[in-house]
Amino acid sequence: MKIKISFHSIASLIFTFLIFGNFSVYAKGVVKRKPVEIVFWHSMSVYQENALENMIEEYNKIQNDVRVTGIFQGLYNDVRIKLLNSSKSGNLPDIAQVAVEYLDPFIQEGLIEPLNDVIPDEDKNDILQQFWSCVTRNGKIYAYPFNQSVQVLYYNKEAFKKAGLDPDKPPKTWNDVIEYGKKLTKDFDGDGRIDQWGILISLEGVFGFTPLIRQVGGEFLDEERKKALFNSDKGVKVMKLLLDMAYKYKIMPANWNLFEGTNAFLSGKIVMGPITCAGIKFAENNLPWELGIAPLPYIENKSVLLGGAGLVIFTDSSKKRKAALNFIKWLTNKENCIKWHENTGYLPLRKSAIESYELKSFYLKHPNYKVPVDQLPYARPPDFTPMLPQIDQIIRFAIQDIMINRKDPKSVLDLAAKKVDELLGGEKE
Amino acid sequence: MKLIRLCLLFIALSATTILADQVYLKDLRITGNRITKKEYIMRLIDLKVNKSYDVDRLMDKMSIIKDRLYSTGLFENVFFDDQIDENNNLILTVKLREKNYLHFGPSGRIYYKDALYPDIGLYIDYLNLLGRNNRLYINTPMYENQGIAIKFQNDPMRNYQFTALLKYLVDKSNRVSESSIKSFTVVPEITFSVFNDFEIGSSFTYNRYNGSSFLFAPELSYSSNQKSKRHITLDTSIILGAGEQKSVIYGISSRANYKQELLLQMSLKVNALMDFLDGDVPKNLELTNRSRGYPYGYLSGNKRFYFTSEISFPLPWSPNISIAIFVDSDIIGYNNLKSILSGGAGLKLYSRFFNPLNIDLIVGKGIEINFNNEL
Repeated sequence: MKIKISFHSIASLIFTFLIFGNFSVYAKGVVKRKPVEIVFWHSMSVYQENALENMIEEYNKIQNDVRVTGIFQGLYNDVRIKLLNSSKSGNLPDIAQVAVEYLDPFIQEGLIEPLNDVIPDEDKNDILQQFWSCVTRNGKIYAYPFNQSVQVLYYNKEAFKKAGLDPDKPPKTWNDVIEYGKKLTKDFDGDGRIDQWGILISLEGVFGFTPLIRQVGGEFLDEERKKALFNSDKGVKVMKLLLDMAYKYKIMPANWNLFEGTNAFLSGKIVMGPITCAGIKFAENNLPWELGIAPLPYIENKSVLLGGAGLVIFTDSSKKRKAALNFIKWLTNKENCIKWHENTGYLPLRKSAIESYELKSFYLKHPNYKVPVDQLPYARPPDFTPMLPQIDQIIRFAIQDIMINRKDPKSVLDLAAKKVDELLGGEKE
Repeated sequence: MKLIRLCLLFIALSATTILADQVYLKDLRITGNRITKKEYIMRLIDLKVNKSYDVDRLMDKMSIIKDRLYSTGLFENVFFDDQIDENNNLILTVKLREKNYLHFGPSGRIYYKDALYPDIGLYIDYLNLLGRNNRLYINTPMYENQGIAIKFQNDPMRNYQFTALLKYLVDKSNRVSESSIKSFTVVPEITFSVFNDFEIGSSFTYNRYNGSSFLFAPELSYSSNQKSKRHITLDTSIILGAGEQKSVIYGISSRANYKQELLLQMSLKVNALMDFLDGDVPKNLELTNRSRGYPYGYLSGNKRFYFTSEISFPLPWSPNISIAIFVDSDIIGYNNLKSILSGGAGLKLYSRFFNPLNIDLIVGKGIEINFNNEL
């Protein structure tokens, strides 16, 4: 009898053998048990979402007791609004990533409980105090710090080289920035329009303004959070510096927002700009030219703003709270804290991470990531108040009025301060 | 006396400083290697247990080791976990997360011009054979061409590269005569790294098609730093061989590949190929058009210039999917060279089991769907 073996059957045999042989390796040790379901709302998009989703996937793989589902819910402000709306209908997620400046309304509404008693001492001592201070109000810790960032100066090393500047010697002060900016701002085709700007400082409200006012020894709000201080001489000095950059030295476009500025930076039309360190990984992977990262320049004192978000537990169920806490502890442990830093650019939260051999060896090949960590000694959170989102809007309009409409800084800041004082007074009442 | 004390103090301080910069590696552990052999990994980690290291030098070494481990292509994640024991000794754990090593999917193409010419098959690509980074690629064309192609590549981390191709093909595309043409080809090839960016090597081909022929092709190749945003490879080989009844085959083959990373992970690839092959060349080794969107053997000759360029970019909202736009062209012939041009767009889908799955739609003489998964 003649046996016919077709190529189809040979191929099928090979496939069966290799595929099932391979799957068997992954199938080992899987025990089915009904896990606790945890819903996690977050604001991480694009590459940050991938990094976070990978970590969630890994957590779901390494244990069978808890199953976490991460759901992207928009930017921080979108999450804030969605959470406040959901709280009314009782549909809050179990965990949410809440921007540190948006914690206060949830505390005020009694939607979140302090975590002081459930945070192990090991975490309390290992996670740096600056990060705890972002999620602590009146001594009570309301969230686990997670993705924290500071601004750093991004710059285009190739544009530096073309302008005859040393790409390894970025500007240290804002006065240096002006000098560098003069060399870097170019009208290549001579049509009277600037083709390459030296710098763009996109003063995005409170977060752009606060570190600069602190750099001249000023403060944004008073300690009791009852009075605006940004309209002092210090605030006026900061705005005059920015006006000079735009109109006197003409090294910065006056009317570009963060979105326009980021696009212009990507396409090489802006050489320098203060941007969050959370974008380092994205920039390194996506820019067609060599990226340099330098500490945020200073005016008189060094100061950077510590921003970002914490992980907040909303669930009331004790079983879910325990599961949520275990997940958060895992997500912020030393190893994950390092991986999160390496995969995004966000700051490493733990002393043990910063001192680790892993990170020190990583920095040898990726020195850009070390710059924001070196800024930690002078990084401070913003002046927290439940009115911060509203104050932020007031400041944005004020800065626009000064920079675009060229109104007198002192009178615009005074008017803004009056509105802020009213808001803060209203809060007191 | 004071001077001696001062000297002793200086020596003591110096010694302390030296000791402070030293660390004693007490243990080195490896975790997460379910398939990759420990011995293979240890070969890439040149650290010795029970030895003191200068801390800065150790950092340097760790950085190099990490690069080396990632260069194998076997690991998704490499992490150094350090622990200091009660005696201030270092215990280093290299935590690895392995990739999926098995990829499979469709291969070949479907071509349409007046009639449908399906020439599709299946491929399996296994990246970590025997846990030592050996690669096995099996392709089984199942329609117009039937047969099997098996390719083996040894560990790319070695300073020599051995590849072996074994191909048995039954060409049933001749619909008129209903006859099939069988060919059998074996190509072992070995290359060695010389200097940093250069390789020399040679391949030997045994080809059976009606009669037997042998080809010997020494080659020289250059490859620039693969991690830079611009990457070039150049490759030239001289072909010498013998066909049936001791007839001569000779030729030269050169290729140049250029890859540049553009904004937002867009990338530009340009490949150019120049071949000259003459003498008693067996039909199945003849120079034919490579441009997609044309029938196999649409043009043939002893001279061929092939050029293809592609721009690809990942979808911002779904980075596992990339879109590619490309153009192919051939200039080919004996004395009268003819040219052809085709172009199209493709989809690259990256997933655990596809690396990636390519689906290209090309318009040329006809319309082609190409799965473009040749190793």
